[in-house]
Amino acid sequence: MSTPAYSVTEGSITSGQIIMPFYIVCDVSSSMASDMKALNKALADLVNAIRNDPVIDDMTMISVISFSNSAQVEVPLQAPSEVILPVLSAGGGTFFGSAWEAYHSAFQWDSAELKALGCKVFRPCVFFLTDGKALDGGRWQDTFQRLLSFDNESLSGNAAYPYVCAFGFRDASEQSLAEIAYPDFGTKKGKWFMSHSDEIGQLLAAMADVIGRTVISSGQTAALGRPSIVVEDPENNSGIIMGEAGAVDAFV
Amino acid sequence: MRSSEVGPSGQESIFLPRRGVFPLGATGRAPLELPDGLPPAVGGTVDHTLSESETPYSVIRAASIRGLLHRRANEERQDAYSVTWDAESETLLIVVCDGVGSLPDSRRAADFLCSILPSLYLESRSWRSAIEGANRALFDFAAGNSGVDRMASTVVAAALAPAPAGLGAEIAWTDDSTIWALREEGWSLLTQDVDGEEPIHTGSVRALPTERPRIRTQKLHAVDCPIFIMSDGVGTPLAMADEVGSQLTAWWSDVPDAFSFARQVGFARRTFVDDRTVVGVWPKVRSETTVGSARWQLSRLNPSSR
Repeated sequence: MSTPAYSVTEGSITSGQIIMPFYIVCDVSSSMASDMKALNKALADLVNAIRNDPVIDDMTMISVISFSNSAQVEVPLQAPSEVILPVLSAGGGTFFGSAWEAYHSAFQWDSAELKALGCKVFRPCVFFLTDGKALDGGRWQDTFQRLLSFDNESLSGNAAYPYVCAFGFRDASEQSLAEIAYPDFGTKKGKWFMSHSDEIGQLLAAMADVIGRTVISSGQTAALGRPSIVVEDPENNSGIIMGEAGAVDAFV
Repeated sequence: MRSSEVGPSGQESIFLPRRGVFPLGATGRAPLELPDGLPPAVGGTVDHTLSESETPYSVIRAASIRGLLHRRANEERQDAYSVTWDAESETLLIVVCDGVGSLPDSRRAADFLCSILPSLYLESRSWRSAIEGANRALFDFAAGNSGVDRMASTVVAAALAPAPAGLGAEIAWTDDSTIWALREEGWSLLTQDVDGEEPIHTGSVRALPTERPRIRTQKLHAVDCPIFIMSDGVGTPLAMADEVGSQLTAWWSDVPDAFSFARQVGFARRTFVDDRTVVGVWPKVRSETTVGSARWQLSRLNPSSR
């Protein structure tokens, strides 16, 4: 995977500003082929919802990473109002390890660049979207453990670990999503969201709505100088169930 | 389109006509695009307040500005300040409080603390004792109103009075509101910074009322330069950006009029959208006259860039 082109213009950054970075990591494996129109629309609606709020647009940055056999930074981290979304296309298998490697590389680069400009970078939040099981099951967990995990007892590992919300549908399972969501320790564990609906367009729109509202609510806390990731619940009747990292049972 | 005015230094400053504040660096979209928002609900507070006063040994300017974030949410300003004068002891008392934004009635906590702390200080002549007493009183106040879990506020305070060496002060603070001195060599933080070197910014604070208030105090034996008591709405950008320090130096080396001071406190800078409160104190220099009595005069500060 190539080093992402950093696209934040230095003139739009002010020294001392808090940045809340959000990474949308999308499965674009071949099983997603019939869903790509809905996925592209959901992403566009999500970005528009965020950029329509000037306060949140100033506080947050988003990036889009796609993955199948390998991963690619489709949109480098930047303000929502600066995002030009490419049209994502599907193909290949489902390898979570490549997604995590790509995210890790991107965030290291982004964080270093933003800090060099004098910004305070808040803990990154990853929205991980998949329709199935990983073909590199077992190995992707090793990649995550090596690059991104943090041991809360020994305080070793990656202190800048991401907060991960996992979104799944079709062949994804609660168990696999509970493994993806992170952290699995502390008072604020990662969340997972699952839909068994066949209405893919609707469920992708509903998931994008959760992501958008989470970005906006989180950005509001940053604007008060006390940033926090605030994960919003799915709308009633969306057909989406949610749970916590490490726990297969959904909230009731 | 921007409007302009000639500032106290004689230089023209451009300000945003929509908001009437000065841009300081990249403004972002919020100051330019946010509408004014609804007026406050019944019992709410005004958007901005400002004060101008003078004592025998100091000149004071104060401004508290409603932040863009609260304007966006149609919420009221949650910062507050008080500037009071005790003629008997010639003590100037300044309190700045920053209500915790996540709690809906924090403005009432900030107002309560600003009103009660000066008299508590004069009773004990100790900020620690005053803040501990105010903390207990705030518990009772909150319990008798909307509830302890619905309001909280930080505190930063200063008491200035003539001393043998000139103008002395006792300062106190509980959280991330700060006091800064503007010296010839630049800005100097008089209150402890809360954040250490962390890989990721967390922004935690422990406000009043709390079972164990975190009170820090310090005595200053000779205040011979302007000092500024402020909420984190200004303290944070000042700490983080040389550009902010340089501009505030240019504005506040001399005493501005109250309206210019308010415009300056409300500066537009990307992502800094919280309430802003600053109380500035410009001390006069004491000189002995030919008949031996003291006279105080403002001295002009000639600071270097930060």
